[in-house]
Amino acid sequence: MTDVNGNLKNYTQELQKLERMKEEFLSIVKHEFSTPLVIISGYCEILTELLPKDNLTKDQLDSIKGIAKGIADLDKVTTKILDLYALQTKIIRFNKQQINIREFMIKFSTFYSSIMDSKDAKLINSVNEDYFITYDPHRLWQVLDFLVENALSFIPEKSGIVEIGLKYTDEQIIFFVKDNGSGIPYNETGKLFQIFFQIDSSKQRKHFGLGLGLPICKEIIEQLGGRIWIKSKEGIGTTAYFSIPK
Amino acid sequence: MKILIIDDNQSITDMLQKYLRIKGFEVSTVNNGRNGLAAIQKQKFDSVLLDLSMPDFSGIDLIETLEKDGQLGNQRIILFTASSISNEIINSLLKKEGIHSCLRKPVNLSEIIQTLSLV
Repeated sequence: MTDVNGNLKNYTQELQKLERMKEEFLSIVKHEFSTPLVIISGYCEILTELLPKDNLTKDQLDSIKGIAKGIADLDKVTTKILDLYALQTKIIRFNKQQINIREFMIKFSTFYSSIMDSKDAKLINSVNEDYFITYDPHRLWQVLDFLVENALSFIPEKSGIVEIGLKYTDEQIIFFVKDNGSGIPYNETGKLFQIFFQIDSSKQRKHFGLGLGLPICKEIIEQLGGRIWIKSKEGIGTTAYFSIPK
Repeated sequence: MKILIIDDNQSITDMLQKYLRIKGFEVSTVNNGRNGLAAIQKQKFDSVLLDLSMPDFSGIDLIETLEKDGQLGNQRIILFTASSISNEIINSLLKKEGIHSCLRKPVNLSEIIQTLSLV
């Protein structure tokens, strides 16, 4: 019996050591990927924002802005891949805090207002009451960000509408992100949470990407005790729901 | 405002030095902890941006040395750190006199300016 207990203890210690190594490896990879990106974007900022404008021609300035945009996109993709890896291997630590949802949503919709304007689209924030939840604010932002970004890929040009709202039940709070986009065929909605799955890989595809946003949302929400699902009607629009336990 | 940047990655210190100089700061850089300690002991800086994860003599070693010598309270150190350092370690360092704040890498340049303006 003592031997069994001893072996079990060693095994547990070994597993804990492996977990720490995985965590450390991920943070090194993250650091090694992001450092050169920070350096490139820093020099782009120096060239475009800080040095006298008349030192560069318009073509040169546009080229540097193009590099900066490419770097920002690469940074986003890298973060998504590493986040998904960290979530799937359960090495993400959540930082739960008390959040006033109404204030949180004001910040979120303010952040999105210029993006919506640039697309001639409207973001409706239907969260009007003060309501407090204990959740990881960074992860909540990330989930809403992915869902709104996703909705923006499918809404019609010039008349797109995305609405974010809340529903309450006894045990949970349910967020919804509703759009008036092209909708998704019924048999495809379940597949959206599969990694690398993209609706319509051919002619109608407006949105290019790795298809990691929804799998990341699913991991975050489920690891924080909730659920995510999607209801959609082709030609009418899509609503993504996710729940947060009370 | 005189700033010292201590980071083992020279590409980072070169870029930050250029950026902060254009923004009007007087910037010195060193690429290891021991040279950082020597620079701090030699002259007074208004603010020190200190990378915690450096080989051989880390930012934490530097803080401990300054603390042991009773010199930590005279500094205004901004920790500049990768996500591999745990929140527990960061929080315990932030409680020490002389440690002003913490910037997590990869850091946004305007965030550095904002933090320096608060020192």
